[in-house]
Amino acid sequence: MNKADFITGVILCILSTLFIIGALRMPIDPAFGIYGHPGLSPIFFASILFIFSFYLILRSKISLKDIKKDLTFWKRLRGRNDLKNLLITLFFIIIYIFLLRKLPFFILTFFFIFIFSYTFYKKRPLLLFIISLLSTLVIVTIFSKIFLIPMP
Amino acid sequence: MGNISYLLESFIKFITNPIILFNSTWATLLGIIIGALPGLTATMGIALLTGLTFGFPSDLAIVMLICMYVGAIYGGSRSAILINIPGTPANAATTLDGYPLARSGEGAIALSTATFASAIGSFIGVLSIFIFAPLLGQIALKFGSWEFAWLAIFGITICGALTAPKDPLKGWIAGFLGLLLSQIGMETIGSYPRYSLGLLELKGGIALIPALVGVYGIPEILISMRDYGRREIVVNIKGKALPSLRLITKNFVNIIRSGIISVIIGVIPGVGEDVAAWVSYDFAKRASKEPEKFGKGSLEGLIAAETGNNACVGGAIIPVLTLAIPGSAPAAVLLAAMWLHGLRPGPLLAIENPKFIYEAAAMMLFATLLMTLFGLSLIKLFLRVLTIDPAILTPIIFILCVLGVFAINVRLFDIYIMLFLGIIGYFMRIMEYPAAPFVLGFILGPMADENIRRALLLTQGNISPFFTRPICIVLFLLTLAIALYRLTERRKG
Repeated sequence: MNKADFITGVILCILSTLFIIGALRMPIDPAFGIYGHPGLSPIFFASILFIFSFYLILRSKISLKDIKKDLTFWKRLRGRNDLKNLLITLFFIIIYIFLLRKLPFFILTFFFIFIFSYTFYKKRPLLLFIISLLSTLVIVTIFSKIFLIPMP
Repeated sequence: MGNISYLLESFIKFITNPIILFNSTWATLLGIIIGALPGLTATMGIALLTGLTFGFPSDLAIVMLICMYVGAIYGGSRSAILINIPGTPANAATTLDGYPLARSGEGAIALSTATFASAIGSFIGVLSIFIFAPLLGQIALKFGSWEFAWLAIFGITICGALTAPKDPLKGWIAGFLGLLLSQIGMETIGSYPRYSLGLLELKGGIALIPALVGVYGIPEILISMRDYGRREIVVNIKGKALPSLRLITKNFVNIIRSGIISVIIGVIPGVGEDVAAWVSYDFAKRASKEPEKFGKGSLEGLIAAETGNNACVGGAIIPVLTLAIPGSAPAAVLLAAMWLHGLRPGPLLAIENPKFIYEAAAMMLFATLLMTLFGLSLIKLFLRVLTIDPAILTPIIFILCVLGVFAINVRLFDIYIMLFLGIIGYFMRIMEYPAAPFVLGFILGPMADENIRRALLLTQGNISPFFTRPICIVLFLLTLAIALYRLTERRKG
């Protein structure tokens, strides 16, 4: 966890610094003066986040050199089935969101449910086909006809 | 006396109005199912239902959301007992004794005892809203900008400390990250669009529901599929169907103690049902004559955990109504839903709409009744739901997340935000950064910002009222004490 803490600490330090720089660039409204400055609270919050993140880096007690040297973390991840499942799920989710409004919602949703479930379940395709079709139909009907929510 | 009659009047209205009864029935059932399914939390359930009920009248929508809340916290006990996976984080302590009971053939008694304990816990929650919400409402009227600014910092500090017991620093980092992200968009004093990067969509800020579904829902979906194929279900439920009256009377002190502790924890901003259940469980174990049975199938432990998490719901609603500050993550969505429906919870509620507090207590009483009825009568149905393969259920849940988020503002940008925060939420989860302080920070951010600057404007930069006003002194000392205590505790190991 030390290595992950170190990397997270660095990212958060950069992020909080960017927020502080952004806040300093905000204009002062003459009607409210310096105490109504829109960047005042962000500077306060970002400064505290910076201090905490910097402490996280110091506490992890490792250097960037050690991070570069130690590649076992990535090798270990590549070998695990968990990572494969995770990446497949993420891939399907991203593709689905990317295709929203590019394909009709009903067709996209039906294919998403069917392909997703078949990829993991790996058996009884006909049953999965029927479940996907029915669930898409139910979702679309309930949302668009009963709750009157526009479909993406 | 008038308050009791108003509570009863509202309760009778709920059970006699067919539209409220019908919609609350399915909301409770859906809540129990959502709570029972590992991967779906009460927070996500309420967030989804907020989108669905957007067009409903406010009183109907809020009662449905409370039914969903109560149902989901209870529903998590089903999977905790039968598959050793807490359906919601609130039921994590339930697994310790619930699952061993189910494996030893006492599944039916474990399920029904959990139902009774949850019902009693919820009832204690109702009483707490009825008694304490008006009192806290009176205190809340004394709050000015300085107190509200401190309250936000205090909330983040205590929530971070309690939800990240191993490493409070991570809880506080999550909280301040939430506070910082909430600063994106138009600010309230001069309407300046902060950190919008020239994007029109960001000028309005990041909406709460996409953020909540992202941080809670997407990581659950990713984790549930990452761990695909590792679930063991106890399908054979044997034993007595109902707990004896002797068991309930024997645990009377345990129930009352767990209820009171959990209501207090519920009132603390952002901490929530999971901490309440663990603390109640811990207290029950310390007070028990048979502590060695805890973790091996103790009904005492099961009762403490289930009373605790459901009593906390009532406690978490109290600051929502009186301070507009959520006591837990699901309560945060409830607060957002109240805002969406034009209600104005907060210190002025006691003046503008004093009866709403009693109406909320009646809503929870109504939800408790429905939860108990369905919990006792539909054990087999919930068992069936649990046997549905996650490969089939997960894509459907994801579609519901997408539609729930889309329904609020009807824009794709919110779905992108959900995905982005979902991926961040996943990494936060695996690196042990709790989501609750992040969400609390996100909700309290605008309030903290507005009050810090307003306080400074009022005093022309003089910060002494932050440390000299009576409530400020109490909040400052509490914040300092919690931070120092948790840091020294961790250093000692």
